[in-house]
Amino acid sequence: MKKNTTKGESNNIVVYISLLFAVVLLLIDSLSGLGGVRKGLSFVFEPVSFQANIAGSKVKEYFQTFVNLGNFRKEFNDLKIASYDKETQYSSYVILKNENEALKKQIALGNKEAVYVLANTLRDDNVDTIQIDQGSESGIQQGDVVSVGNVFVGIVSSVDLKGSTVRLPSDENSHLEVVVLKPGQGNATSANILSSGVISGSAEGIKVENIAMNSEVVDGDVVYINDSKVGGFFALGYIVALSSNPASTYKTAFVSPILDYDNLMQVFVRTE
Amino acid sequence: MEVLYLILTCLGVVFLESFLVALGSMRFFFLLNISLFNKINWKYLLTFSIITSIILDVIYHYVLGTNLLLVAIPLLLMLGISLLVPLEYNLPGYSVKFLCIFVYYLLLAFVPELIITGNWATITGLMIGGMVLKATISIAFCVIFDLVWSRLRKREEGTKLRSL
Repeated sequence: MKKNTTKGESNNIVVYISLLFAVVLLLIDSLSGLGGVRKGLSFVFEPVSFQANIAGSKVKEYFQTFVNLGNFRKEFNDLKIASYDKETQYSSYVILKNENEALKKQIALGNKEAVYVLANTLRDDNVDTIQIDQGSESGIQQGDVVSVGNVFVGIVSSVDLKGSTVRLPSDENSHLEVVVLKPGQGNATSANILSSGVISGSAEGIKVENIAMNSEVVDGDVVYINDSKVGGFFALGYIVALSSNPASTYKTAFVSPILDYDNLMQVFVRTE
Repeated sequence: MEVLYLILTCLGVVFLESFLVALGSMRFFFLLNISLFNKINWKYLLTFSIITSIILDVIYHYVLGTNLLLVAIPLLLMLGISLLVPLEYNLPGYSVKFLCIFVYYLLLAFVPELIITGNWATITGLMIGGMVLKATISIAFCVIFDLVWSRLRKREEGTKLRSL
């Protein structure tokens, strides 16, 4: 017990001597200055301290990232909202651009004497018809032809006040007379026409029938609508999968449409 | 050999002190002093304290003796309180250490400036909060240090040959 007390008391000396030494050092450094000691120690230990400081700062930066996670998340959400905003603006721009391009095409290629109504297509799950946002209010009637430029889209099958349904050539009830021409031959003179035929919608696609057996129609030739119901000369697509049955008197083929009906955004309805 | 240990310890402490100051304004030198107090020979502790404090004074551009004074005052306070509360490895013992560490950080906030410029520094509530936080972290270090120290001692004792 006595030994422990003595040990404890001798340890206490550290504090007293430290205090005394500190006061003495303070006095000496304040009065005379210990520049030599400072320079020597600084030369040896400043680089150690400097490196340690750099290491500490780097670790602090790393931890700071975790501390600022909340701010980062908020910033990320703000950026996400801004991104959605920009995306919306971009979509509006794309719609305008499409409309502009469709108008240009219509002005350049459409029948300038006819009256056209610009209509936006609406989403429709039916693959054989499309819905448009113009109806009888805009003067559209059943049987009006829908086109983009000189490319055939369909025929208006039903109309209400604010909207209409357009029957596409792929619809099973759609039957139209067509002519087949070589690509690049826009004039449907009898000399240029390779064959005439009838298109009808089917589950496999737009089917062309009644192509003359002795005609020189090949895959890739262009199909034009030439029907009294349409009352004009509209491009429809290209001949594909041409087949002939020796027992039959005509050839059949399918039409690959020029337009992708799923991605149509604007169409023109030719009103009477 | 002891001299080599001393030099290496001083270097290590200077490095850790600078590292922790950059990391979170934590002071390692005082922490080591308070942890080693009553654990090693007082002569070694005194030599270590004087040398390291002078080095740190030079690094921090304090008047020489400032760090030693900052260490000695809280330790003196601890000795004073130890007359009433025994300094053991329990809650009251660590509470005294917590108080001493807090006092150390409090002194650190204004003593160096007072010595250099003669002006009293302003201490805000935020600074007090920071001091409490640093003292809490330091106490956690003290607890871990004491645990490691006691295990090392036991292991050393285990390897000793028993004298008949």
